[in-house]
Amino acid sequence: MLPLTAKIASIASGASRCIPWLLMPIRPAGLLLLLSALGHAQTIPADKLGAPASPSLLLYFVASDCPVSNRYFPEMERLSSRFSVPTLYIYPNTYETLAESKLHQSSFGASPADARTDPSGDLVRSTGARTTPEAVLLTRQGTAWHVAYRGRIDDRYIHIGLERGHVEHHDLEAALTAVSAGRLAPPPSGPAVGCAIMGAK
Amino acid sequence: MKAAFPVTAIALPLAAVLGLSVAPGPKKVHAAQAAVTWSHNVAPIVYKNCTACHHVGGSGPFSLLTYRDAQRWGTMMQQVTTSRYMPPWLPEPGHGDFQDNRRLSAADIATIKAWVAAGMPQGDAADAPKAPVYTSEWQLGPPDLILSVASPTQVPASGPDVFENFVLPANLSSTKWIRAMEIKPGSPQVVHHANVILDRTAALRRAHPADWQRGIPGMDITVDSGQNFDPDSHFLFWKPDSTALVEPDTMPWRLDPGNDLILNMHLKPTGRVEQIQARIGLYFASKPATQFPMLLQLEHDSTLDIPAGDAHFVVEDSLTLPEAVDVLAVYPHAHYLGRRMEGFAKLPGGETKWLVLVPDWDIERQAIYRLSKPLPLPKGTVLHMRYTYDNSAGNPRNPHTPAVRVRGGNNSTDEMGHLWLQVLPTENAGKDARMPLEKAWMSNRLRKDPSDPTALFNLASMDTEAGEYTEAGKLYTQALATKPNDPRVLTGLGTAQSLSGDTAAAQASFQAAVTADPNYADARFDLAKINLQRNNLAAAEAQFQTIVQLNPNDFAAQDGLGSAQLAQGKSDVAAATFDAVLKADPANFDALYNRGQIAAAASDLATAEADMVRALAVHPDADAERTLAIILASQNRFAAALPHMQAAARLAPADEETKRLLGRLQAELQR
Ligand code: HEC
Repeated sequence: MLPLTAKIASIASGASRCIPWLLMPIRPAGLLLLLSALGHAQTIPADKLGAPASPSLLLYFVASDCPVSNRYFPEMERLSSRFSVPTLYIYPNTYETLAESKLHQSSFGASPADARTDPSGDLVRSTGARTTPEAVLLTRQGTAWHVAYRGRIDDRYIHIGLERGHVEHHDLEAALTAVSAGRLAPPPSGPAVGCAIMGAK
Repeated sequence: MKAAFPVTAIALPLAAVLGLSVAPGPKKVHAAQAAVTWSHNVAPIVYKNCTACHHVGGSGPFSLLTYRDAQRWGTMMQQVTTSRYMPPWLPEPGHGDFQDNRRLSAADIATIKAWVAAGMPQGDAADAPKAPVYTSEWQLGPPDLILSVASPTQVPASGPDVFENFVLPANLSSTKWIRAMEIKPGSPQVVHHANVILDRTAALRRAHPADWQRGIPGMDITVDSGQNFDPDSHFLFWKPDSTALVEPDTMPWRLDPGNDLILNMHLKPTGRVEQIQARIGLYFASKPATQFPMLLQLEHDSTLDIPAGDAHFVVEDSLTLPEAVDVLAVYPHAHYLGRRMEGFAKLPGGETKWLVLVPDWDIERQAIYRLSKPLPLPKGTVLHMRYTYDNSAGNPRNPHTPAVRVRGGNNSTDEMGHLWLQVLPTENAGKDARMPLEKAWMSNRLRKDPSDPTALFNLASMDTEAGEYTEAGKLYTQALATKPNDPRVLTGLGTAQSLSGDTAAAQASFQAAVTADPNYADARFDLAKINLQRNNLAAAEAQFQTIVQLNPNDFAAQDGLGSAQLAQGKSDVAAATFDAVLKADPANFDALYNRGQIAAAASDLATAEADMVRALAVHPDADAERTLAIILASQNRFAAALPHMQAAARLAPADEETKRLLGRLQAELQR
């Protein structure tokens, strides 16, 4: 897993045009995703994600019934706004509806407009997300999105039921900092802890 | 078919690559085994062990009542049961035998695992047990009294856990015995646990006049236990699957007028701002308690000074039982650095019995453990606690990075090490059977810390109770060395002095207490009383007046006021004072007696007689009997007077005046 992430990240950072998204105008455009795990690209129609044309895009995989995922909302919001990165909250579990996801977004202080479901399972498959909460940071390269970072937000949870008194590694923040500076995102320093995704097959 | 992903992102690619059975396995792999199904095997386990919390409206984050629910959470169910995170249960088996033991058997864990490995088949739905039904109603029907936290509290979306104390005045007009209590925490998913503490003197409310309605932060609190020997007796504890807390028939707990309940809550941010407003339902017993348990504590907080980085810091305490008891329940408690907790008893014969063993402490899952059956411990048994703390970076729960030196205290970043036991003295049944235990406990505290003001204070109070006023005075004075000007200690000292006959010293002590806390009604009352006793009548009147102004329902102070007025010859004013008391409290003995005296002095014999009769209906009293006899005799109703004078003589056999009057009355009747 670790080398895999590093390899994909290195593809992403191999592009010389890795401009910090902070400066980029946001407009809708067609969107391609690079399938991370097996390395072959897959196209995701624009209307499906409705994602902006910024150089980067942050996906948070979340579940409304997962307590760990819910507890991360304040931190997820903090990171998105600190780096001004366009963000989508993906509700991949097949039993979640878009309408309910939007409600959930607002009750947890996130924008309802940023909620997406993944009824076909495409997003889960193409990003390799397994867990809620899990972050996927995409960078644009030409017409394709590359997975620059995928994994935990930080190391607050060691495993289910064991929570640190103090977060030590802000993995996603480090990735965002690196990518916004045009550097390679360091891989997560440990596994994502949360609830398994029950996505479409 | 759903894929059964393991929870950690790292594990999956490997598992997928190796074709492990996390993916729905080919049938042939499991063909040899009897098919494990939801309906037949798993639902019974889940209904018995999980759904008390995992239902809509319960404390668990999701429901596990249906096959679909279980299928969605199946892999995680396997994970959390294997790790024994769920169901929450900390004690190690074989080290104490507890009621409602939630520990899953190895066989149940294996069943869940096999079911997940088999692809979580449902089986024949008709085969499944009926799902339990949970309601949000009060479990025992409508309570006799419902207390609510004054206003809703907001729990922030994120950040450290919140520890808050809410004061709920019970506002009773007479004493009630509580046979059951149910706490409705408001939003169960936010509340990790809650503890109800009885504040007999409304101490916390008085200490926080401005903000008690909002909630007072603090992980643990200490409150004053009042004027009489009245040790805490019950664990009033809520954890996420608690329903109503029902006490044994013989052991309801007492709630008096003026008592507050304090709801001490551990609240955990959920990711969004939550509002909570807890309610407590109380159910009254028809009969008072006949058995009186007591909470005993082992601790050694004064040695809790854990160097940064120390991964193996030990705190120990022991306490020798001065009499035989039954242990009914145990409550081990520490904060985030606690790791291993051992509680055990060494019997006089040398045998060791475990009280509780928690090998991996987690404050989030703390609970009271009630013993399946009472554990009898003979006199001379030594109770032990041995707690180990980890203040290194290796303790993930350590709130500090880098680790810092941590000492004992009530805040969540302080540490604590308590082992509480609910015990019932078995040698004699009365309330005072607990006195030797209290004495042993307090003496033990004093051994650990010779200047411990709580121990000094309680030992002094027990000496006062036992009539050992000089010894009591010494201990109170010692307590003042650590807590100079403490109004409670000064008042205790004054009481001991006054009872030993040194009214001048007592007056000075009470005066000092009132100066230290002008709102401390008990001290002012004692000061007023001693002034009355020493014939400083104007001062006494003024002091009583102040108390009454602060609390018009303080009838004892009202009576004192009337008495001070009466003693100064202001009978009209005094009569008005007693009238006012009787309007609010028609069965107030002192007011009836005094008003009767005033009426008698004014030759209003009808009123005097009526008041004395009413007073005697409240409780027997020699003076009232004698006064009534005199009132009757002065109307020449000698036959009616005789039984009252006889009663007076019976109640106060040493009173010469009564004897003399009785003789005269009998002579009168013989004429
Ligand atoms: C005493 C109440 C209680 C019981 C009994 C209980 N749970 Fe839980 N469970 C909880 C709570 C509370 C949480 C949420 C923990 C948190 O806030 O992180 C939880 C969380 C979980 C989670 C999700 C873990 C997470 O934090 O994301 C799973 C899975 C779970 N429980 C399964 C079970 C199973 C299976 C059983 C029975 C074998 C069970 N629980 C029994 C209260 C309970």
